[in-house]
Amino acid sequence: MKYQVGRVAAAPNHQADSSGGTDRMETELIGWLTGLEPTGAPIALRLRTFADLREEAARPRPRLPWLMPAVSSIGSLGAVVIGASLIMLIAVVGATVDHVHAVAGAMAPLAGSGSVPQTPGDFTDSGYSPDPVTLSILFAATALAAWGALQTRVHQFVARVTYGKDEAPAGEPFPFKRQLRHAPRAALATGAIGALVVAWEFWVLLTYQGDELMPSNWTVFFQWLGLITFIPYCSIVALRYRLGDRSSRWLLTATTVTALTDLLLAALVTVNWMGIYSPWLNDLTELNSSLLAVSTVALAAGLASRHGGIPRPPTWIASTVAGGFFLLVAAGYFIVGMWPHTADGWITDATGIASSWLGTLSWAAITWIGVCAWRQRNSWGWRLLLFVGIVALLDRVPGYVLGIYSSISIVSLPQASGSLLETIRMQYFWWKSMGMVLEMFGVLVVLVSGLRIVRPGETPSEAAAVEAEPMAGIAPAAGTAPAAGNGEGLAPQPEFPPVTSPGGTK
Amino acid sequence: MGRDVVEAVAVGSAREAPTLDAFEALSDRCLDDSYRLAAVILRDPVEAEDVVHDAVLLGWRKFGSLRDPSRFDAWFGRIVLNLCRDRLRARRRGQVRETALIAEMDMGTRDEFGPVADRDAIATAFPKLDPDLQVVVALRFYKDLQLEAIAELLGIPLGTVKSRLHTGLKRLRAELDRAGWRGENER
Repeated sequence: MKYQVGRVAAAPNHQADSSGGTDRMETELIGWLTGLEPTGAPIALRLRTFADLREEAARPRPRLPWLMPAVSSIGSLGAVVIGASLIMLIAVVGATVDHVHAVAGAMAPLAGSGSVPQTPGDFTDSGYSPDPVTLSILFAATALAAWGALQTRVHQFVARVTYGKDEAPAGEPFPFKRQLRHAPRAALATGAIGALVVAWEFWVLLTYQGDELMPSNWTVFFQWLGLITFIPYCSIVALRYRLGDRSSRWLLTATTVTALTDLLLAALVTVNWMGIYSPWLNDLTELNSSLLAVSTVALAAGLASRHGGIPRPPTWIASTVAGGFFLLVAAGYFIVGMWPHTADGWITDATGIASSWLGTLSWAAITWIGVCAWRQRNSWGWRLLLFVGIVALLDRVPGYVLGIYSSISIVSLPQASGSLLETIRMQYFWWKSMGMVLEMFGVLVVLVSGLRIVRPGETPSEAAAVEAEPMAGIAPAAGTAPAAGNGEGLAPQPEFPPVTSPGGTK
Repeated sequence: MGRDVVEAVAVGSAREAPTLDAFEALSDRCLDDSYRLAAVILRDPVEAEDVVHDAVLLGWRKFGSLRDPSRFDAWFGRIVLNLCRDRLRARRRGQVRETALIAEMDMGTRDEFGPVADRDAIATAFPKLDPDLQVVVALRFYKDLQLEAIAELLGIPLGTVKSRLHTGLKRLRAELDRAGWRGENER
């Protein structure tokens, strides 16, 4: 035992007791490990560490420290749900070719002729019904997708696609694999609810044998598409933007609320689709609208805060836009009666008007950010906001116009208005759903592109120089100290904390 | 100093938020041991410095979650070990650093009394183990910890520790046999 020196020699090696003796390999192993032992921590390490510790302690503490791992876990679960859902979608579409033809046939009149679809039941009248073999294939595909989403190689692929080959983060893009035991219960519960809602919708879709599906089948379809689009928002924001600054917290709030709103919407639409009616469904619908407005307000605030260089619009323009949208929303609410408001009293009406107005106003603000980005020649991600904002506004305006038009038509053309209005409503549904998907994808692309902070007072050339820096969201290099300052108004800093699971003795 | 600091933190934590001075004193006490352990596990003193640095900052952020200040050493040790494991995993994903190799070669030949060839064989075979196995083997044979202590330190079941230790040694032997290590016969 001549190699047992120092700390090892000071204490008996218990391996000898448990394995019946220390063989030569273990002796050499002990000697080799002991040979690796340095004398002690260098003075420079001590100085650097505690200097950085003082600096870290001087920084403002995060207000919601639990949010990051929770959202990260939600994103991981969302990735699993998305993968499983996509494969299930492919399987369902592949198993129901006739059904797809029927949908395409039903779509044609909506797009062109303006007539009402003749056979609303075509969506499920293809004769398809789930059998054990198909369901087994679907479940196997789901398990395969979930397994794939949890693999390190898949993580690496996602990281390379997202961040580039040489700039992939050191941490796992989806910490779900390693952090399952430490995942907050709220995150697990939210992910489980999302998975259950999607599974339930699929089950209803597969087993539905009723006659009346249009237009709610389209609503379900696009809403489901929206669900799988919106769920990754949280993970994108959590992975893409460092949560140390105010704008990222706004964005995270927006995406979290949006994801939860979409889950609620999924449940509501499906319940409505199944023909289950209850008074509390209206309340939940109102709550959903209010939450959606809150998320849009937070999104606008986050984008404006992140840009940092958005000038205030002229007062008269802002006042006109705000007043005009308010009048439009109020008119749509009270005069036209596009929304269910009759039974719940003025509180519900006021909440509905406020949420609709705030949501529309927020999209107008996002459009203004896009306009400023075009004028300042910011990155294409910022410029894309103009397109997204216009689509979102156009998505809302036809509802008011349709309502006004329908009320006028009903008054002036009582005989002929029925089928015409129905046709308009069908096209409105189609446009509404398509617009919603477009704005969802637009926001998704904008967030994925990595919006960089544009410092106030920058000239366009300086802003372009900032935009040309390496992509944000890269993990700190090994051993680098956390970035000083809170990141607001500064050039982009590394946005990933090192992924670890310290656990802790509780 | 240690007991005083722990008592001060224990009293203070019941009344107010943890102070920076208390955390600094506690972490300063663990710094040397943590650095040595990280250097042995990572076989790279430079990377060990980074790990200890990150562990101190991370520990400060999570300090509020430590309910029993008397267990600070174990809590901080687990942070260090988790960071080491992350580094080993990143290294296994192909991000082997030149500095690590240089340091490893330098350290592997530092012991002039030992059979250099055997040590080199172990130095080549040991990094091929899974990071989890490396950590358990290092804690067992370098820190000389009981299996129960390893289980508590890593927060894993005792059976898992036994399994990892057994698997680690078995694979290490296999790697050494494959490399033509002299083994028991030539002793």
